[in-house]
Amino acid sequence: MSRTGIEYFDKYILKDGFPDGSLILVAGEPGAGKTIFSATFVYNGAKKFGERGVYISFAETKKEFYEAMKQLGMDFEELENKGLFKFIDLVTVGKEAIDKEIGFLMEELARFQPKRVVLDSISVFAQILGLEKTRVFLHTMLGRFIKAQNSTALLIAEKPVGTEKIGYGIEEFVVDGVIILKYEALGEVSRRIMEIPKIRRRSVERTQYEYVITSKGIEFLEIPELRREEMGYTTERITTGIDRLDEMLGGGIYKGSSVLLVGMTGTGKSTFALHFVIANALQGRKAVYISFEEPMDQIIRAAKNYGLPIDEAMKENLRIFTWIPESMTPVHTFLRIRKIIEEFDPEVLVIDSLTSLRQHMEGKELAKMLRYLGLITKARRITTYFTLNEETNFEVVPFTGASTMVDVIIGLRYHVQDGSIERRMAIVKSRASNHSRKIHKYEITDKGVEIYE
Amino acid sequence: MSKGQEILVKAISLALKEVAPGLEAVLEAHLKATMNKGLEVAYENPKEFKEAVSKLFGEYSARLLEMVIINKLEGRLGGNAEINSLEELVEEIKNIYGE
Repeated sequence: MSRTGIEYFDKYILKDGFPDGSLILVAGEPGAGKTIFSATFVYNGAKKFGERGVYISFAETKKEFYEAMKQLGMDFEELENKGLFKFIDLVTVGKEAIDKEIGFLMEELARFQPKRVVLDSISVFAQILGLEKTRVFLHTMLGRFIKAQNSTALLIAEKPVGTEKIGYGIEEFVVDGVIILKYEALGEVSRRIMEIPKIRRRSVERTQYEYVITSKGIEFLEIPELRREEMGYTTERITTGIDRLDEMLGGGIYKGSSVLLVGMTGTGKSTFALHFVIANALQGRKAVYISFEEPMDQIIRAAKNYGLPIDEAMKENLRIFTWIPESMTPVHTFLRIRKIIEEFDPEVLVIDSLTSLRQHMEGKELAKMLRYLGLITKARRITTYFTLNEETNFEVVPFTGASTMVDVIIGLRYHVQDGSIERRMAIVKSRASNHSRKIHKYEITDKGVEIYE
Repeated sequence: MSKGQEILVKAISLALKEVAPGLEAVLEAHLKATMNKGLEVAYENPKEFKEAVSKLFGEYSARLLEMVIINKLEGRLGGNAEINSLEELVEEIKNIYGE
């Protein structure tokens, strides 16, 4: 087995890694991460498993490769000095010299006997050799060597932008596995997807896996297993931070529930959310407020204007995080939220708002992310508020992807009465709870939210 | 240019053409820019020549070129010694031509 050393890949995608003696085609458009994925395979092989590796490149010089990989935390020079790695930088030769180059290459491989080989790229070879000779090279020369040595070779193939064809059309038929790395624009950011349409002696469960390239190399979106944790039920309730609302809900919100606050701008969604995190932080619960709408200073100022003791809460258990969602892919956003949850381990969480996320994610993407987030928060019994900037008449709740997932929906809306604007609210849904069915009037004063009969 | 030097430069030129068209011009420009010399430096100082090629095309491409150069001349020199490097090839040429 040749594990990649990328934990998620080895654990969830190709359990135990590539079968020994495999030729694997890694195809993708420029910028999809083929080199980084393949280099990681060789680097981790040497670093984590003590296996010799060779990287054959027709594109990059050794210096360029070493420098680029060092920025991703991979020191190939160190491995070379330890005798665990060789970078073979070759020029693209003409037809007359290709046989000599192949002979030279095979001699080097035979001498060094690597357990892991990367050929970057097979497309260059195929271009010079033609289809028939490429097949011979892959089957008879490289293929035999790899199988005899129980090694694994990754063959990088360029996939021209905008085409579905991989490489030169024959590589995929003579290899043991095909990995396709895709790269697509998603609003202002890009999304990277791995597909594995073929792999001998392994089963791959999903059709697609999302990944990101960070300063640590390739990181997969570690999607939680799509099953609910078997947990005992709880009847523990926690406060919304607003006494009247707690009463309306029958004594607060069940611990671990998710709440959707939906209403047009100015209805006070963020104020409700601030009540929630501040009150709970002051009761000794760790609280996290993630804002995609406002910077930290504005959130603090707003809380103070509503008479909410935010300074005290921040000294204790409240943490506020703000960032602009457009600067990250949905995967990044999810990973960041998950990292905050894992590091800070909150009991209450606010995501303000889904509207900001939806502006740069497709509805389906957002619903998927919320489902994953829901699995994490449920498993940890984190009580979560989501805000959504949409009109509601209390009969219809927008964005069904979120509204069907949450346990509690609180609708907020304006009501014009005698030439003035009045606010109305209702608990549209509250699972397993005897909640108020009335529409209530409320105001936002210098004491925060005040709810009337 | 001595006879031995002339033979070697010709072999290098042929080897470069065989490996990839255009390499010769690039290598000559590189040698000129860095050493103010031409391909004849391979005869004068094979190690220095190899380093320059390696810097330009990479360590293994330099080795590949070295092998192709040796292949071009090995048969023609008619010696019995096995030649494994440019340095050994230059030595052999010098022995044959008494330079």
